[in-house]
This record gives sequence, structure tokens and C-alpha cells, in this order.
Amino acid sequence: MQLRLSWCAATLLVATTMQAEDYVSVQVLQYNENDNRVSVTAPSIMLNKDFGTDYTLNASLVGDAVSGASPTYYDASSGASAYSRGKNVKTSDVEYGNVHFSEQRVAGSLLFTSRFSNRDELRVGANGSSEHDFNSGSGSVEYMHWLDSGKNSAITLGGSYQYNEITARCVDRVDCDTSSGASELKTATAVNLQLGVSHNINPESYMEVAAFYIADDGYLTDPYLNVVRNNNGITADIVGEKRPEERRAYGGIVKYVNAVTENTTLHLSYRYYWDDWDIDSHTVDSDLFYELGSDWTFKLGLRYYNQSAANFYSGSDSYFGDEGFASSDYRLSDFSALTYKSNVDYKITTDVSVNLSANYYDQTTGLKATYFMTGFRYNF
Amino acid sequence: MLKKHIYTFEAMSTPCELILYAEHKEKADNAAKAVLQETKRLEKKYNYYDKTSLLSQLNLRETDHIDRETKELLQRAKQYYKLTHGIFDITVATIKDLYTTQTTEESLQTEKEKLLAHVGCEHFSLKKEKLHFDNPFTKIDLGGFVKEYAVDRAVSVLKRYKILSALVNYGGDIYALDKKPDGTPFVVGIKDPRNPSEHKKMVALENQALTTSASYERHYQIEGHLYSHIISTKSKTSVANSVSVISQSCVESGIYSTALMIDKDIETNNQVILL
Repeated sequence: MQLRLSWCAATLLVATTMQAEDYVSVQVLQYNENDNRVSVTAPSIMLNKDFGTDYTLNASLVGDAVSGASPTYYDASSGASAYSRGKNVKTSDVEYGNVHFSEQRVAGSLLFTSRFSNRDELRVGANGSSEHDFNSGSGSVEYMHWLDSGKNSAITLGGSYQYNEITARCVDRVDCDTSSGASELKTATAVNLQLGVSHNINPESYMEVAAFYIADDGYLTDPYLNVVRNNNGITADIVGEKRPEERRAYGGIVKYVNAVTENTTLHLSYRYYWDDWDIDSHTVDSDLFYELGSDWTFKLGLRYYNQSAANFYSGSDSYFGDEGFASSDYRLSDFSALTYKSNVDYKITTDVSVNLSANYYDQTTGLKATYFMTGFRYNF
Repeated sequence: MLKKHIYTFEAMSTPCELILYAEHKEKADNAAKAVLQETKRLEKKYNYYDKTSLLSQLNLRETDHIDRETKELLQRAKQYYKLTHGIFDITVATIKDLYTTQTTEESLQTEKEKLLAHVGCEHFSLKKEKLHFDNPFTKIDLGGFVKEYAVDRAVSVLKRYKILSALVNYGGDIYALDKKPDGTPFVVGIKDPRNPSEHKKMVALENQALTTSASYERHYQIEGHLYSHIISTKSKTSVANSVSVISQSCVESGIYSTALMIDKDIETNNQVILL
């Protein structure tokens, strides 16, 4: 079950003044969905090291252990498996429910920042991740140019390229037990371009505006998810979902940071996303940071997300005919979600701090999730 | 009642799938785990590209010592070399690297001419526990052999774990152990070489192996000309149809499907499906 992170959200960067610090951070994420769905335990380690004032290297490594189930249609006469597909199964045997899986993933990233004499920055990054049925590699380049001598405004242009390999077994396997003769290895690529401008409005407030473009090409179907076709009330076909092999997405982000008081900072952002699968989404994010003395930092946050459905989505078992794109993946449906966020950081000494964050995610499809992250950071 | 358990993993740069029928998940899990271990063992031991593998050590002349398993595999390779009139040749590795290191057709041909004299299974011999090459250039690659051998080994492991009904598929190299619990044979769809997303033929298997050789997936490209991953010294192969062979062992099927890709007139008593 490939974990496709929100590519845009993961990579969108706008000019920020890098704080020169050498540190190691170790974190553990525990993510749990309701209804015995996905459970993820993900330890990670991050190293940030400056080489003089001109170069910075950031490296991270994360390991995921994912287990649980994701809901899809299956042939109940064969059991709750993503492989329980078949043509002309009894309509009464068509069920929608959790199909179990487990997965382990290892991912690593490197980001190298180089600063020039005018303090412009060039950032070059590489990422890789591996699961038994999904391998991914990517590279990114980003250039930040200060627009004024006071370094209050900057423009950032960045791009990235991602290459994915997906092992799509059994996608069209409805009339035999297995296949011989050709690799079922599918590939997909993602190109991401972004342009951002940042500006310090005054000593208390800061603003960023960015636009992005994403081009996904190749195998974008989830090989584990099924749809029901040709349901005539007596029999139906349970087959693998089928998505277009191309997606173009556009959008923009506006972010505003304001120091409300000496020890309280408010972060507000809005993100708009549109793609040619007809998914429109709006994300409004807010975080309030409060510093208590010099040792404690508290954060409370709320994120609202809303999206429209893809034009080939239906949650119904009697919607799709024999042809055309089809998906019953709830992630492509029309839904809204709220995320309640909290975090506390405590500096034990000047160089050592610990953190704990607790978050709750509530989606209108019925999906609910909690995720906790804890760890420490050592400045050296 | 026997239940279906499916396991997938990656080995030998190939997606591998086990479909096991067992009463309990624990029994199937244990058998699958043992198969995975055995496959990974073979992958490490005979990996042509891993400098630390036994195969690389032999090719680099760092050792000449071979264990019983390796000796048997090399003996079988020599035997099939004769049966296929030199077409199935594990020493083609001697020129294999040229296809990735040479960038022009001319340089490929020049370098190939130099090394061709050292290609052929007569250039190595097996004496007791030693492998002897008669020159410093001959190399061995069991790539067209060890994946199929791993399938046969997987079947042996499954039998040892008392799995009586199973389907093993390593990248299209398949063995069907007995029938499905409902009494029907396992059905394998052979992909259409011109449209790999479609099955062109269905084949029922019962205690039989099936492999398919085709050139549509891995290839080398030199000056725009595609060379099949099945490199033979006998001819310059290009994109071709697929050949499937059904036999009693995956190794046998694999060797003949490879050889028949190059020469469709090779004699065999096995069932051959040409697409």
C-alpha cells in the first residue's frame, strides 16, 4: 500500500531566513485511524549541520511500520481481500469493507543549502523511499533571491521531479489465478514547479504568497482498490479501479505570520488547489504559539480542509458501467475535515529540548484519526 | 477448510507472489517466511551485480571453491548448453557488460569480437569442489537460471512445510503445486506480448511449471536499437514475441523459453506456447 504523501504540501517552500543551528532531532510518530483502519508507527531522525555560514546540510531518515486496513469493495464469497475480485459475482456477495494489509517503508532525504555573497540561497535536495510494492526517488532544486538590500523581501523559484515505481499486481486479474509474460511494474512521474514571494511587512508581521503547478503522469491507480461495474441487481463485476494516467494541478498559498504580543505569534494560511480530475480543495490553517518564559512553547492549531469529488468517483456499487475511469476511493470523494492540533516544547537545558504533540483528525466520510509525536532535539 | 493466503515481496529485482492454501494463517505465514529466506539466500549467493556474492567472487577469480549446490547448478547449465546447441549459455556474461558500457554500435562490435573467443561453457570445468576457467575473461551469469531455480526451491520448501496447494510466481516464472482446494487447476493468464495489459491465452497447471520469455520489459538501447535482455552470441535478438514453456520444473521451462526466444527450432518434449 503505497504511501503517497501530499507532494505539494511536502515540498512547497517559500523564502525563509534559515536559522543557523546544528542539531539532531529524534521523533516518533504514532498514527491511528478509527474502525481498525490504518495504524502507523514512524520513528525518524534528522540532522542539521552548518559548514561555516555559507553551507548547510540537512539529512533525515524515517522508517514506517504501517498496518491495518483500507476500505474497498470485495467478493465476500472469497473473503475480505483486495484480490477478491471477480466477474459476474452475485450482487449479494458484493461487500464494502476493510481489506487488511501491512507495510514497511524506509525513506531518506538530503537537502543541501548553499549561500552566495549576496546571501541568495540555492537548495538542492534528494529524496528516496522504498516499500515492497512502491519505490520512489526525487530530486529538487530551489533558488531564493533577496529583492532588497534590507533582506525584507525575497522571491523563490523551485522545481522537483519524482519518479515512482509501483508493482501493480492482479489489477486486471479476474479470470485467472496469476499472470506470466510481462512485468506488472508500472511507473509514474511527478513534476512540481513553484514560485513564491515573501515579505516582512513590519517587525511584527510577515507574509508569503506562492503559486504551484503539479504534473502527474503514468500509473496513478491504486492497485489495491476495487470498484463494482455492471451491477444489474443479480450479478456484478468487482474489478480494480482505473484512474486517468495524467493529472495537472494548480494552486496557490497565502501565509501570514503576526507577533500578536511579545510572546504570542499567530500563523494563518490558506491554500487553494485545483486539478483536472475536478478536485477543488481549500485549506485554512491556523496556529497560535505561546512562549511561557524561555523554556516552554505551546501551540494550539486548527485546520479546515474541504474538497470536491473527482469526476470519476462514485461510492455506489451500482454506478459504473463497463467502460471508463472509475474509483470508489473515499479520498477522491467530496468531503471536509477538521484537524485539531496541539504541541508543547520544553527546553531542558540550553541545548536539549523535548516535544510532544497531540492531534485529532475528523473527516466527514467518517474517518477519524489521532496522531501523536514525541521526541527530543539536541543542539550541538 | 483450506483458506487462501497471499504474500508478495520483491526479490531478484522481481515482484514475487505466493498464493498458499492452508488451514491456518500461522501455517501459511511460517511457510511463506521460509520461502522468503530461501529466495533471499539464493539472491545474495548468485547476484551477478553484487561484488560480494559467490558468483562475483568466482567471476573475479577471488575464489575457485564451489559448494555442492553451485556445482550442481553449473553442471545443469553445461548440460542445457549442449541440449540447446549452445544457445542457453551462462557465459554470455563475458560480453554482457559491453551492452551497458559501450555507447556506439561500432565500439560494441569491436569489443565483442575480442571477447567472443572466451564465450562458451567449454571454457569452464568442474573438478571436485573447484571451478576452473581456461582463461581470465570468461564470466558466468546465472540470471536466466537462478530465478527459476528459486521457484523450484520455493516449492520444495512449501512441501516441507506441508503446504499441499500453492501457486508460486516470481516475475512470471510460475509453479502450480497440485490443484486448488475446489478441485480445479490453477489458471495462468499469458500476457499478450503486443499488449501486456491483456491476457492472450489461459493455461491450466497442476504440478507443473510455466515460464515466459519475452523482450518487452528489459532491454538495452544502443544508437536507438533495442537489444533484448536475452543476449545470445548466436544472433542479435530484437523485440520479439513471447515464448512460454510448460514442464515439470521451472528451471527446465526457463531454459527452454529463453533458448526458444532465440531459436524457435530448438527441440524439446515440453509443451511450448508461442505468441
